[in-house]
Amino acid sequence: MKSKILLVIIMLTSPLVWSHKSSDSFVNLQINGNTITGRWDIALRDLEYALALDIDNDGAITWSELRNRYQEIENYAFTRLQVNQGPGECIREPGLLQIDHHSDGAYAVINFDLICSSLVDKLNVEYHLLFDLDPTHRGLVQINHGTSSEFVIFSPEKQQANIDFNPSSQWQTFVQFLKEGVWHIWIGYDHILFLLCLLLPSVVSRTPTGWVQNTSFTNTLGQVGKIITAFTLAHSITLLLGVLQIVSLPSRLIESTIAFSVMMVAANNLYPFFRERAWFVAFVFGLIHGFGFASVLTDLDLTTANVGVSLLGFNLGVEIGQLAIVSVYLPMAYLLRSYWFYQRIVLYAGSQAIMLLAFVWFMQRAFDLSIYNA
Amino acid sequence: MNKSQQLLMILLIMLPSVTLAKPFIPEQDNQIIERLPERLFQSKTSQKIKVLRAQLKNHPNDWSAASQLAQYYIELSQTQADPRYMGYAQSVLNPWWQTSLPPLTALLMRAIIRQNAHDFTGANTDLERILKVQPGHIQANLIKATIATVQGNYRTAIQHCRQLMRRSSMIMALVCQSTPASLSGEAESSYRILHRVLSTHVPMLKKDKAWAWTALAEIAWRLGYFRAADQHFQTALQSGIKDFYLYRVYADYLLQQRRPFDVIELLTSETQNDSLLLRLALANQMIHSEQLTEQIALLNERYDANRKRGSTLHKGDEARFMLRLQGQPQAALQLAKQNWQVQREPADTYILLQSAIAANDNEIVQKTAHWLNQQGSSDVLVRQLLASQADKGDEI
Repeated sequence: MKSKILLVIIMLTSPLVWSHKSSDSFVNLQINGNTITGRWDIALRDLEYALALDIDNDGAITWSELRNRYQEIENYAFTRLQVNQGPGECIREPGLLQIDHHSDGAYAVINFDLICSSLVDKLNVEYHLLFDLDPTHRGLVQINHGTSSEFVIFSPEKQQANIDFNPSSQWQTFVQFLKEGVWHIWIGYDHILFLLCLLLPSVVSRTPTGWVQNTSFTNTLGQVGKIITAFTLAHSITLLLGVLQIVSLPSRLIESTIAFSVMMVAANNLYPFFRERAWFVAFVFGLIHGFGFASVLTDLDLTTANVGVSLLGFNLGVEIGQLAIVSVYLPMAYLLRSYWFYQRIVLYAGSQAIMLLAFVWFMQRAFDLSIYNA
Repeated sequence: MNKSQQLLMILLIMLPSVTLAKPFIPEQDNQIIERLPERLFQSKTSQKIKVLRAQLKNHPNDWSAASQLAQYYIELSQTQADPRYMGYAQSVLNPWWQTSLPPLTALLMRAIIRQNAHDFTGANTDLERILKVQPGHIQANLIKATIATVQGNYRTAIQHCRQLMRRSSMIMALVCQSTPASLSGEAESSYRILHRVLSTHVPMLKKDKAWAWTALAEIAWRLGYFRAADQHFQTALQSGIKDFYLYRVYADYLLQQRRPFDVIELLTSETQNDSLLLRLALANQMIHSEQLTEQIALLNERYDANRKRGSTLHKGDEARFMLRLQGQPQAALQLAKQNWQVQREPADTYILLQSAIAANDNEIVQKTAHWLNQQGSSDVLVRQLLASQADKGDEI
């Protein structure tokens, strides 16, 4: 039995389960005030190639062979990695040598601390390890600062990086995604049309004898506010669920339901079937529009940026875009509401046109009509 | 075995997923923490590499030493399926690539390295430079033909294979030509001619023998001659050299023939290669093996590691992993589409069709089928796939 167990252990720890892949090293830097706690994993195979660790030439590296050369390994490594804090200097405090396994074998884990002259919020990293011996080597560096983290891949083409954890860089991300949000509501005709269709009848009221103009702007505003709030609330919820991949629906379903929602609200302006509950409709369909926004946001590069900040920025951008449309549309509609032109052409013909357009979208998206043309 | 021993065994079997998590300090000095790739010590190659490395260190301008060393590294990378050696070769050759007139061999080796990294455009640039000077250069034409075949440019491939007829043996030219010809409407005749020629027992290098019989087996497979294909694969295996491409396609053949146990027998000791591990996992899935969970975790870890370094080499395999082992047809389709932009070998086409069918993307299915028709494909596997569209595609 003993020999059997031994056999199992050997099988499990043997390199057979390790894969062959190109060389990577992994650097993890954790910033805490003016200290940076670092961990650097370098493959033993790579260290062997650079420094010839296997002194007795038996094809195996033992713990003592490695440990006895730790000083040399550290010197080799840290002449090829420089971490500096903005203008200031950091001093390295050597740490333990450990071993860890990655998918392609055993790695030396070099632990270290960097003590810097002041609080660290900016880093300058230079990485040159192994590029001279293996140009396909990559340095994968992750830097954590509070809740945010940055990830940099170093290669022979990119050996230097500046990482800025100042609030301004988060602010930049925020602004960038804010703009994306505004932009996407502008080019997302289906969202705009959905909103307009809901708002078209808000300046008038339906009576048994026909449309009557609303007399109070405050009431109208209140009604519009209710619709916008419901829509915003709903799509914010599903945007969050979609981006965090808690819920994911097939894009065909999302896109065709969005088209369907536009069709429905347009139809409602012609043949009312949900009357006073426009806010409720805005909420229900808003849920599906949120998934649509989420797919846009996931298409953008979310990996480098802070997800929370980007999400907030994007969502606010969508709201700003939305409010801009409403604030242009509403006063105009309110002024024109009593005219025949508004009630007949804008409300009726407009809704008909939108319904037709949305129907075409729906057929395209749901049934992939384009392939039957070919 | 008593109960506590059984428990111990179970715990030990569960170990790998647990032990990979945290860094540790080995307890004993003589504990072996890493075994170096076996071919690199004791063997002659490893000795030669050591000598050449030392030589090059003292005389960095020694082209003869550099080219020999690079040649060794490239061969090692191919026989061991280990990309690190390609990196070493690159660094050895780099100084010569920087010169305005690199030696022809340096260009050829760069083409091989670039082809290996799926940088087909870069590889073609190097090959064209060689062919301008030596239009009949055997290896340059061969690699050019291979790349053209992979990209689905069968006519270009055949042209370059024909260049070989003048310079090397007819048989090389014939093997080279048979794959692209078989994929562009000449499957039956390519098969018959190649089969007849290979059956005459002409003396061939082991490497060429494996290559030729694998090509023949694949053509037979696509024609639906399943038994003949199996025999040809066996002949290729008997050549005695370890050819990862052969292992991969034979495993694919066995999977399509629903012979999981043969896959497991073929690949059990090949888990270090991501591609082969994927095939092994697919076989284990067919027999509902308990090893499947661990292998899926391992594959996940490896694809993750590749993704982190920005590598895009494994998209075809990853698509298959997503579709078959993760049940995510949409993700699989995205990967398969990206993969198909780069390479269009039959396996790439199968996974594109399978994931498109699974994801109900009719447009992609139609477009791909149209492309195959244009090429003159007579692939029975594709025909089966399209016919089975209703029941979500068979394993291929």
